[in-house]
Amino acid sequence: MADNTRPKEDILADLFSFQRIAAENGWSMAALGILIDMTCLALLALIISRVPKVVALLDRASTLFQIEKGPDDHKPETGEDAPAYDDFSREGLLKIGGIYKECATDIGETFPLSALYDVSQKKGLPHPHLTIKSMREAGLLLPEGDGKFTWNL
Amino acid sequence: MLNLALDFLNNTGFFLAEYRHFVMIAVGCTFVYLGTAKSFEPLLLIPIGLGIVIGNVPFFKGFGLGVYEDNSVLHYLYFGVTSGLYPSIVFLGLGAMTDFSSLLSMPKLMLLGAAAQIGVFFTLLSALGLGFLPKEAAAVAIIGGADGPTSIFLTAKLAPHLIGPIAIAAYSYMALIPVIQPPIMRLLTTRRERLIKMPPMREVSRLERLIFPVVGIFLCCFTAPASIPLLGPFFFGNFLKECGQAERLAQSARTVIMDAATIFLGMTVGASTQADVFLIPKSIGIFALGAIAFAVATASGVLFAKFFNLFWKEKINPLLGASGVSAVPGSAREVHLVGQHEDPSNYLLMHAMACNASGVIGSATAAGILWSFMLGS
Repeated sequence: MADNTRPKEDILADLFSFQRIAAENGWSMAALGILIDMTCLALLALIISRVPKVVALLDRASTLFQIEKGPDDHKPETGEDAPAYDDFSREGLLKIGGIYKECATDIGETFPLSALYDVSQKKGLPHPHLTIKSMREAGLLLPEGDGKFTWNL
Repeated sequence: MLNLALDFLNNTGFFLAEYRHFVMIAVGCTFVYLGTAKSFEPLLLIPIGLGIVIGNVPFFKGFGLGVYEDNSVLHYLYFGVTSGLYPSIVFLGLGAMTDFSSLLSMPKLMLLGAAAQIGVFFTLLSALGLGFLPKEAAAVAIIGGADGPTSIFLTAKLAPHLIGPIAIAAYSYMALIPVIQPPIMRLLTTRRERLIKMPPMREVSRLERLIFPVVGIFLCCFTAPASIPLLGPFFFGNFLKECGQAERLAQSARTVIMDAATIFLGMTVGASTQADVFLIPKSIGIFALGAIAFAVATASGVLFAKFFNLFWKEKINPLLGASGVSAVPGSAREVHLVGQHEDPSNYLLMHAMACNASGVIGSATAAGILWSFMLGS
């Protein structure tokens, strides 16, 4: 009976109360919670956005390292007049392509690019991903269908 | 002999049944129907639905049959829920099946996953205002993360008496993504915004994919150690997948191990919704707050993407913000479908999956943060 005579505001206040939020430290928890969560994910995003640069740096460092101590290791594959592996002009790519082709005789006449990539990595050829991409763009690797390619040197 | 027959009849489910049991069995059958006939999250709704039916068969109390009775088989299976074991195993499997390439290709999308967690903390305030105790409010709030295992995990730790309603609310809203999210997305975006095309993803190296789970463990688990039971197995599973040397383990984690945990999780959570503990006034509040949490999470993701566009040169399609909730892959699929409805040549799926993946991390981190806050109370 008493409830029927109570003003609407009181009933609403019973249902929802900002004081209860304040009493339980709710505002601080919500503000701090979202701040921590967002900061954590923002930091994670920041770090992973830097990873490619770090990977590229490591890749470059390992390439330099390989080139410095490499001539003896790669002499059989590269020959006396080894090409510059960062020369992506058509002439440069033709020279590099020759080395790649020589190294990759085991994978056959037509092959998936992943197989060529694996072989070039095993042989320690510098930045194979970029080189294969450039050779493909220069038309030195022609698609044969079904994801396979052949040489066009 | 007649007495024996009468005693037997008095102990049958037919004799002991009340209207509440039939209400819950009807709810269970609805879940099974939605999962079977409508293909709404069948891997979740079918085990939960059948669990509800099993859990609401009336029985004579004291026989050691029910999920809440010591020494019953269901009680032992339910231990995996109350201890947080099943959610951890599910996260291990999730990690072993998640490809983070799209997220690594565009890390800024991770912020949308973070923004969607505003729904969690908004609901925390609403639940406190409505008179829920702090631990109960935190458990209800995590529904906004739209992650069933995370909701169950946190509720098991903070308010185990509410596992039934919270789990059912969380999974119901995940199944209702196609109903809840698209109107909010359309309401908060203009057609021009929905037509924004995202740039193609770059190729991500194996080394990057390997580094990510390690960085994730260091950053998220060190920030909120309470999230270790979820994010630890999650990143561990992902490392198994990416390292390439433990494919057999990764395969087991994402198939049989995860499937077994999902079956027992769904069934026992369903069975925990016994009429006398589920049909209480608080359940109505939980369902209402769950809907608010889900809607606010969707809206905050979309609005944050729009806010982002004010400062960023390369615009983001704001629809992607809606996939910042961690309902994988339902919300990503909805974002893609809404985008395609405006322009059939607009493919947002991979970008939406990136937001979805960050939503999983964000909601598990939010659960860890909430748990940490409640340790003192």
